Amino acid sequence: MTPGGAPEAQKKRSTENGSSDAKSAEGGPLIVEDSVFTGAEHDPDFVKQIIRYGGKDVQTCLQCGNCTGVCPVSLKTPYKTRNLIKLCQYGYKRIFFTIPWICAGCHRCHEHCPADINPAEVFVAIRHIEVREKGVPRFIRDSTALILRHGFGAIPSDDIKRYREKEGMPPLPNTLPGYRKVLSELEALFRKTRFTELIGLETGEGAAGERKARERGGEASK
Amino acid sequence: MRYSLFVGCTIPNRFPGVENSTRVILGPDHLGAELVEINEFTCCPALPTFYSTDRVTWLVTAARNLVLVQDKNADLVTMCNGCFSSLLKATEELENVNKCNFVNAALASVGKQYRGRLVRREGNRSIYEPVRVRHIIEALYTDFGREGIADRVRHPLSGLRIAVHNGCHFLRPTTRTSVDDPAKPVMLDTMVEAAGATSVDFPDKQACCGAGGGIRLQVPKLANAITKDKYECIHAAGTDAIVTGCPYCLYQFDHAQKDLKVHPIPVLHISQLLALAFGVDAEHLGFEWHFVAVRPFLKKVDAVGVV
Amino acid sequence: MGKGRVGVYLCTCRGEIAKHIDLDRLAAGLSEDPAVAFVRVDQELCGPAGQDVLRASHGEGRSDRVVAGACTPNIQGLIMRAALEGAGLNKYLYEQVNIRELCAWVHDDREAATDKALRLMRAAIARALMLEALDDIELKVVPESLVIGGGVAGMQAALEIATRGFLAHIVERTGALGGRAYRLSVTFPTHNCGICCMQYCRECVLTPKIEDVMQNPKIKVHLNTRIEKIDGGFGDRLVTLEGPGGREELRVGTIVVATGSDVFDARRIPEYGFGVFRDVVTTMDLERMLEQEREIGGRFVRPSDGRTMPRTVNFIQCVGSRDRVKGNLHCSLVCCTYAIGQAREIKKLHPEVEVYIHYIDLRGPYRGFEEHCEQAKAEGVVFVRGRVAEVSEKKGRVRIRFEDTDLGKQIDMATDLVVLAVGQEPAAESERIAKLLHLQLDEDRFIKDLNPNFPSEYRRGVFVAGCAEGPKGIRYSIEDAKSAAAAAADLMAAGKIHKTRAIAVVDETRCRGCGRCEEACEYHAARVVEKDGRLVSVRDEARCEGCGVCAAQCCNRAITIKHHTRPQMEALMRRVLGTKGRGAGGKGQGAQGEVG
Ligand SMILES: Cc1cc2nc3c(=O)[nH]c(=O)nc-3n(C[C@H](O)[C@H](O)[C@H](O)COP(=O)(O)OP(=O)(O)OC[C@H]3O[C@@H](n4cnc5c(N)ncnc54)[C@H](O)[C@@H]3O)c2cc1C
Ligand code: SF4
Ligand code: SF4
Ligand code: SF4
Ligand code: SF4
Repeated sequence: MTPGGAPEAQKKRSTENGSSDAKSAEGGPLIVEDSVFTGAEHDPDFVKQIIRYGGKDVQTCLQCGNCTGVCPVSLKTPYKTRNLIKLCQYGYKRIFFTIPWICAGCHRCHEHCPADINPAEVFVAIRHIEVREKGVPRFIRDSTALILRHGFGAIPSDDIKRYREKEGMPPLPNTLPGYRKVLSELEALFRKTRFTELIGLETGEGAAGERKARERGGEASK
Repeated sequence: MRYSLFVGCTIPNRFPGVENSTRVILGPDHLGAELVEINEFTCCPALPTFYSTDRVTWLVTAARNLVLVQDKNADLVTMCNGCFSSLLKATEELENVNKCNFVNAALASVGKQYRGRLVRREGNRSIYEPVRVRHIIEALYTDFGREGIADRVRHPLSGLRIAVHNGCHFLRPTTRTSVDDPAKPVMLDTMVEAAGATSVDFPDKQACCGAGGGIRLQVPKLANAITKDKYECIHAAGTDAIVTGCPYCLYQFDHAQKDLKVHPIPVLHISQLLALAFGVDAEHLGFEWHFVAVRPFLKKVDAVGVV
Repeated sequence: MGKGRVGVYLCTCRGEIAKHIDLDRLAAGLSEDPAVAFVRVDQELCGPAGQDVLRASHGEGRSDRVVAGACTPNIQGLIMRAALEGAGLNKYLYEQVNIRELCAWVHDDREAATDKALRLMRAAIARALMLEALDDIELKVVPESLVIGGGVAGMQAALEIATRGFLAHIVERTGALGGRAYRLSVTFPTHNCGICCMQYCRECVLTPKIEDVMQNPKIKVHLNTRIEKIDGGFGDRLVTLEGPGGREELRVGTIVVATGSDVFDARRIPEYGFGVFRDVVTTMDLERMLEQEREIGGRFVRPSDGRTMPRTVNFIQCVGSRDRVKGNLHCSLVCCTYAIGQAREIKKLHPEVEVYIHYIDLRGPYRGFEEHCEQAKAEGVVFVRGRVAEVSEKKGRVRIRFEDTDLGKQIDMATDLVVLAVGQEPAAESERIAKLLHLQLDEDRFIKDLNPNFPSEYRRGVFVAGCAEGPKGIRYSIEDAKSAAAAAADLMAAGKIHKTRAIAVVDETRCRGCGRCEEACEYHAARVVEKDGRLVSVRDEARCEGCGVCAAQCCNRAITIKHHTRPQMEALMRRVLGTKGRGAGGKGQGAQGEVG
């Protein structure tokens, strides 16, 4: 009898990109690069930082695993919600900067957590910290650039334009002449909140150039 | 009913048919809602890009969009779970006076101020409430109801088995953001049934599509792996189509099926499904932009649709 | 005006106070006060040596009233006051300032904290000068007792009281005695019965108890009865009951509250599907299922088909407990032990059934618990760490999804029976009963004991026992009941109860009988009566708690709270605020002019 039993279920749920079940090609045990945590990774301010960026206090987490149990991402990756929260409790901030953890923001963990930790918002807070201390992911800079140029995160193809005309749909706002003003408003706001600076995006008349992310101290107050 | 449609980024640029079918079903020929056009909207803004990076910028940008509707005496209606969750969350946060003042200080630089919509005057005082942000599913369910929708159906989809996918951001978080019960949602199922089709039950019905949080963008393989589980449950239940209220979920289910090379199940937006049931010709509904061919489903619709 | 000679004592609190307050400066400042006879500083006034100092020093006769600057007057202060009483001080001539919690522990700035202590001490001295010697009120205690609730705690309390010769009334809401324990069979630690034990319990006929209670001439059992009203005060309360025989009134001197607990309603956690999936049951349901099998020769079957025996059983722990969102934050303390007992019972009856217990932490801080777990493991029960996330149904079998936190792996397994280990919650009626008796509820909504370290503390002749005071096991409920009953019996044996004189008195010459005080008094102690042809307000000494609400309401300043009289409080406030008053406490000392 194995704890948790149900081998049938385990088989079905075994991860796509393989983790603990994996065997090396030769059939011996798989050797993975891993290292001992020494405690040097500890950052006593991490928990407070998470709260400052809008997360809850992770210290009261029961480590009950309910969040992992419902998390779609935990199911497919080695980064389990509960473990990530544990890393927060330890204050192992640096580790978040080195592993490719991700969260779908589906809030299932939030709905189930008996300690009201709301891991989803904790992870949002950690993203804030990452952006400020590690660097800005490319997709954020790219989509911001698009939005600054078009007001939206995508541009329609010619087919779609023809379809709209044929169906007699109203023109897309950003094809109207007055939209220029909207774009300049957006740019002004992003400057005002220092967002463009935060993500290292040079703004200018319709042209967006990239710049290395600059350290920016502190977050805009809430 | 006065609605201002907030179409967002994904719909006009990937699934123009969703916007068109929404306009058609709400339009004078069918449900007869009044649509207020606003031409200054921008991205809602997207949660993974803005909310996870800088809550302040997110709130300011969302507030700017909300300002545009506050004086229009109309509800803001989205057809996308992402826009819905972002904008609704913003109205909640803006109820906090400090945050609202902070946001207004920024908005002042572009000559705007968020107050919410005026509901009444008491003497000299004006009473404001948050701008009403609504999801198309909820608007149809609450304002027209099962009967109101069923009345308009000219082409009942009887016998068709539909797997509904609510999508996370329509249901969660469990605070006020949800309009339907996250544990046992009913609205989307009701709309599907109002169209005459059967909403089938399957395990893990409320599971995530896998695309959210920038996963589709950053790790498509992971997104597909998550979709696969849900796809399998849907497939096993024997369904003719998947119906959702979110273009991003639609995109994910559509695209993942192509990537995973599985037996294709067409994916439709609820507006498209209702348009079909209302008797709108499929050729107007923009199915050519779906990856999984919708044609087999349309054939079944034609077959069952004997009025 | 005060001609008193005030003895002042300061305590370092073994350094706790001295660390943050300059006691030398404080002592010097206070010595300047002409009303002060002397200032003594001691290491630990509440300790045996400190008490000796107090006694000896007061015995010298240089002071006729005392002000202490130390810790809390409500705990250690009582010890110090008692020592002084031993040396002849009237206890109403004692005043204490809590310079530890109010000054030392809450301020970082040593100088400012010292200034504050000085100001508060001077104010206390000003009041002390105006205090008058009083004696306690003595009230008779009616030699009958009311026990609310007929569970193990209530029955034990009643038996104990009866043994000591007093009449005990048990008022039980339901139609039977026994409470929860009577409905459980595989309780910890005895594993087959609650040993408490009630004769009707089918598991055990060794120690009859329900029968004892029923037959005891000194115990009156009122079944199916509701407490309607409780009136009266210390030592003498009028209780109105509503029972099958109609209304009834009791006069009792002491009350034991033993209303127990309720079990959590598992429907409040929708993801566990209780009430939706038939194969999801609670531990209480399982109890009935097992009982049927053992006693009526029924079979252990799945509720969904009523035919097949479950091959797999999964217990989910902490249902409604340790869940601050949908349930209660507290741990129910008994559900781990109980679920393990049930798991073992299933294994005993049907070794082939796979039994899993899903827990967050196993909690059973009791002697024998570790052995209980070990035996369960040896018998094949599997313990899985991780809170079950959700229960679903697929192809007619229930499924549970969870993370095995030891493996760090999600598991989605099919099972035949899910058993929810529901926790304890305050009894539905406990809030109402607490209100009737002016008892406080704690944050977890159980009734609060005066001192959580000290069970069944006397409080106006009212005691709390068993699960009404918080989740606990049978043994501890019985222990509670014994000490509550002993205390109640002591009180009734003494026949009288002492109560502080610090209550309201009415100056009948000023009172116009308007009745505002009567309306305001929560304890029904104020009443307007006709006396010599005019209306005046009077006080019931037994009921008045000295809260002062009526005094604040009275437009005619007719009401005085003894020991907190207007001149006393005014003198105190003026010194605190540094304002000059009309006379009171001002002469001689008022000119010192503390900085403000
Ligand atoms: C699921 C479960 C499992 C348990 N397992 C164990 C175990 O294994 N081992 C162990 O030692 N303990 C166990 N316990 C705890 C044990 O049941 C309690 O310690 C014990 O029953 C407490 O006795 P009580 O008299 O305080 O309260 P209860 O047994 O709850 O009795 C209270 C009585 O008061 C009555 N009552 C309530 N309100 C009123 C009112 N307003 N007026 C009149 N009457 C009222 C009720 O009807 C009831 O008869 C368990 C408890 C539960 C819920
Ligand atoms: S569900 Fe909540 S309490 Fe449990 S492990 Fe996750 S974060 Fe911690
Ligand atoms: S919000 Fe993120 S961590 Fe929480 S369940 Fe969804 S994907 Fe997992
Ligand atoms: S006793 Fe066990 S099951 Fe009950 S609340 Fe405490 S830890 Fe949970
Ligand atoms: S002091 Fe309080 S308890 Fe006493 S009579 Fe006045 S209001 Fe009632």
